[in-house]
Amino acid sequence: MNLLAHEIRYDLLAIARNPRARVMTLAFPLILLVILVGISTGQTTVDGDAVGLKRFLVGGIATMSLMGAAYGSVVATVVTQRENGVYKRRRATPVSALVVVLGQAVATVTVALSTTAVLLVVAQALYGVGAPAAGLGLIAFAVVIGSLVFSCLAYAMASVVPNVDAAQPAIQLTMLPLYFLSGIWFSIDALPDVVRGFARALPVEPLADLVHRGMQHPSLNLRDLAVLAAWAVVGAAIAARRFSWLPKEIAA
Amino acid sequence: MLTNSLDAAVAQRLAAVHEQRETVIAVRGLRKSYGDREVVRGIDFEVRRGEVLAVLGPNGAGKTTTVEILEGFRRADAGEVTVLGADPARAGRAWRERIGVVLQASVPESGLTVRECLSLYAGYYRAPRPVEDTLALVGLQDKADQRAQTLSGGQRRRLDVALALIGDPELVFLDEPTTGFDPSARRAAWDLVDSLRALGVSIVLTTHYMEEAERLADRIVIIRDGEIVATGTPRTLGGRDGAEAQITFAAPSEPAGFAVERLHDGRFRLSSASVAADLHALSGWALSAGVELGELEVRRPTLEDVYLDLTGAPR
Repeated sequence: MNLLAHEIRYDLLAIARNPRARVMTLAFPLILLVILVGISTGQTTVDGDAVGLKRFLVGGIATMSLMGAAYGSVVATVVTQRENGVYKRRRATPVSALVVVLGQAVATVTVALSTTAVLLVVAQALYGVGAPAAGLGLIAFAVVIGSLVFSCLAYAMASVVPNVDAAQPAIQLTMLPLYFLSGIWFSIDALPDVVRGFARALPVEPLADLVHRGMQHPSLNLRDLAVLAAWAVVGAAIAARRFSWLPKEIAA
Repeated sequence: MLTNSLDAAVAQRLAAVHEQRETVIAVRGLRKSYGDREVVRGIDFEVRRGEVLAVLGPNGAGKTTTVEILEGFRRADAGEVTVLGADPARAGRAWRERIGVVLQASVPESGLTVRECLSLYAGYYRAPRPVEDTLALVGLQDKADQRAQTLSGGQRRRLDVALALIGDPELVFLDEPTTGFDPSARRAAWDLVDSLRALGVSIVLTTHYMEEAERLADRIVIIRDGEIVATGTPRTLGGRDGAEAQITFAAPSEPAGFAVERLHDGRFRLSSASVAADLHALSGWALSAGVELGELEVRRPTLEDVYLDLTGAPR
């Protein structure tokens, strides 16, 4: 337990000092929040219910920030550290893979909770858009669950990315299409039934749905949890099978 | 003759001391292939406690693969490998507490200072060496609060060494540890290896610098095409101690009665198994002929000469 706390402490330090992580998880979502929420007016519909567009976008941007922290940053970090020999050097020490992976997961959850809190405070302060008190618990729950699920998926993705140069394209190719399909920028009520059904089977929409529910009328959707749990199992299984401490060239 | 006798006596004494020490690494019939290409072809060697073993060989000879099997990063296809009493491929946390590894290539921990890097790694061990002591050991005290990623190449390498030593290991693997060092940093690294040796730490070193191997190693193993082609102390490797010395000199005419070879630059070369006697005879000839022996030089084969001969590399 002491070793895990030790690992988390230094992982948080490294994340806090990493410009890429600061931009992907905090600066970029904050800029989007200020611009998009600032210029948005009117309403949209979520599951047929009318919702203010500003409120919808705050939930969407919070989900996007969470993806940046738990998926984008983790894929980039794991691939970079593996290919640069950092993981290999750690493998030569007594530290276990479990401590390294858990340390990163807990650090990621901490960062995601902090950035979500900052986004909600800024949205409330600038635009008067906040979550109902009863919804804050659900949002925090969604952030913790989402961070863990997307950390699993990030480790799985990192295990198939061959080198540092391929990391960013792999992240963007998997994240961007999902943003458009998953209720981040606009409600999936506007999508055809078939596409909506497809989107709901993917991992981002259930997470976004949990956050939107927290922002509007707090209620847990078990379907969301089931889909997220299934993706976590898939990600963890791939990661467990393919995780390597060694650069791809050496592991081959 | 006297020198050869002394060399033989020292070699014998070293061999006797070597045999008395505990074996920390034992390799028997080690084989490893990548696909159809066999890169390690049945090699055997041992490392004793407190010994510095240098593994030399050209690029692609199989030395890094061999060392990575010893470190537990790769599995052997065949043969027996025992490191500190365990199979490295199956060894656990307790075994890793006892080793330190300097990789051939790695970058510092992202975002952390030098001191933080060492503190992070110190936390992985039950009984680490104090961080400040380790900083002093590698001469990085002045850089302790600097971000590790901003260090120069040589300073990064010293941090790599510090990270390998933070666990206070009894066996250290140094894979080309002084690559990129300037001459003074290299001397400092050699002093560090000396102090580790004095503490009884066993060291496996790979290097491309013959001077480094000669200066640091108790024994040298040369690998070529996945096989060991020579093993011995720096003095005796490849029969170096028994090899004839080369006496070269310039003279106005070829000395009579000597089996000399004329070199392209006009000087003469005499292969000598008995340097003192041959020099005495040569100077006698020069005095009687009234000539000077110019540019007189006595040279035994260097470690590099032996290495190049054994690895078949062009000179």
